[in-house]
Amino acid sequence: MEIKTEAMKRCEVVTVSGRIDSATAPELEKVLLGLIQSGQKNIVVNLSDTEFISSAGLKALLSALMKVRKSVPAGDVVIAEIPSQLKESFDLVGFDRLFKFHDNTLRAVGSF
Amino acid sequence: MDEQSRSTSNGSLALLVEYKLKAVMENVPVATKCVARVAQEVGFGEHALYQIELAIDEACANVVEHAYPAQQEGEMEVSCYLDDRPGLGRAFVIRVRDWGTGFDPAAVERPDVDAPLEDRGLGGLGLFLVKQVMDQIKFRFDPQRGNELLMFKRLELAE
Repeated sequence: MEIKTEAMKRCEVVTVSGRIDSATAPELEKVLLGLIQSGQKNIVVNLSDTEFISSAGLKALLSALMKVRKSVPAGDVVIAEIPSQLKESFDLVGFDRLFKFHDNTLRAVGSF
Repeated sequence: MDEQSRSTSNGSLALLVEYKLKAVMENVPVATKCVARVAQEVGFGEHALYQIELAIDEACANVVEHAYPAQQEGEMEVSCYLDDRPGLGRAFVIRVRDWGTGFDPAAVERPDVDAPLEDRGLGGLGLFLVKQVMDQIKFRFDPQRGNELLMFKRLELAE
């Protein structure tokens, strides 16, 4: 799994490539936590190149969302370009009602 | 040590592969790849393969994280079977075994997937997902013979 981060004017884009499984999810969690702790509360997670996400990855995303929503002013973690197979897992655990989804990373960035 | 195949009261169980691995996080993707390859050979399509990978990742991660105390190097055993049950069809069975304190699915709280964010917890997501994507799971606690988590997935011809 590879993670690239790119700072935009009003948010950070986190692009994940490869598989987010129980072995690699801690790294994603560390990146997200690092951003939040350094003051970046608006995050776009680009999953266009992500092949797989296990519950550990889902948990890392939910944890990040909870943290940014608690800050003042509240931030957001939005999901861009999620593959349909991954979206199914998000739906199964009710994440479709918690996260915002965008078909396009630029639009996701523009939503902030 | 283990039977190669045995008859159940309903049909017959054939062992396909058995792997013994150190219960460390690095081996979770290893186990996942191995099981996925077997499942693909058995005939599962892409969608079912993804679901099987979810289940095996979760099961092995739970052993790695919970079965043994931090200082102890434990083992996990991953086996795949085909279960032919008359009238019920063929099922792919994954067994994950450990010799530690075991992981009891009944002890894990079900997440409230309909709750708003402020009421959501972080626990139980993995097991919940396994129960959604596998047809049946069974757990047996036996530290001597090995605690077993069995996960069943019906082999449907049109995937």
